[in-house]
Amino acid sequence: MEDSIGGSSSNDNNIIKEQDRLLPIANVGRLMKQILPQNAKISKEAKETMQECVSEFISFVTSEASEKCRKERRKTVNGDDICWALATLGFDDYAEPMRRKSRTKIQEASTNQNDLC
Amino acid sequence: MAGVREQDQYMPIANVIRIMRRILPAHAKISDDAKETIQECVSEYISFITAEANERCQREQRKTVTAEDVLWAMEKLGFDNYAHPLSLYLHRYRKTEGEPASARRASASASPSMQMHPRTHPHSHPPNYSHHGFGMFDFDPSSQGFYRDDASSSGSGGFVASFDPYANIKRDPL
Repeated sequence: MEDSIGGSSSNDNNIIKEQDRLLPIANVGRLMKQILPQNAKISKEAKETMQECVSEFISFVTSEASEKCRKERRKTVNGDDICWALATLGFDDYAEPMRRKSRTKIQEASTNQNDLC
Repeated sequence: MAGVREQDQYMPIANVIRIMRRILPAHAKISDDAKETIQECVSEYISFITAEANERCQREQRKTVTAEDVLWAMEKLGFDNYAHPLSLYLHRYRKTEGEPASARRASASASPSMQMHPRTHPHSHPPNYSHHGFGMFDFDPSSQGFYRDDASSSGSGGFVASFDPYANIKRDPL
């Protein structure tokens, strides 16, 4: 299933609501906590810094994937576009595992389909 | 981790899509695997940086991970160009913490965009997403006085003051 994209969510003053611009800080904190030892703490500033950076990361990768789709005159951004964008932007360490994961999912899906038939 | 719930492992998909939507043109669509790929990447990204920041804390025998640790981890892991604007952001954030919310909004909306890009592939061009609204880099650091070497500046002040955004285009005088 695909998701149709609406226009930008900014108001007249072009100021975007915090919840549209950033990922929830509770989720960011929870994910960070999973990596840290039990007794460790995370400052509010650390969570907010990570929150900002993750939003920029998403924007950055999406922008590059979008540019590829525009050049190839396609309307749908797919997983391969994201992997390509990651590799292009120097996140090569992410791109290959993501491609492998994507291929595995496709294989699993087709296996399940065959089992149903 | 075996017993980790999906909502603890990944960012909410609706929020991820919302950020992606602001970048994409109005007619564009996002496939499910694109959403999942980004979602997984974000989790990896957070884990990657947090683990490095934690290592620093353990070396220095501290229990609290601070914003400076996160910035340090980014720099160490090759996100050098993230770290500089982020430190400026942090500096401004600390400065404006005491201000009323209305004054904060006014200063944010009055200033031009400043973007960062991670280390890019030699053949790639940094994408232009200046249309994506008021983000962390949408302010003019020179107008806020961040390039002054204030003795009173806290945290990463020295790091910020030594950052010259025009270093790569400056020439030696003849």
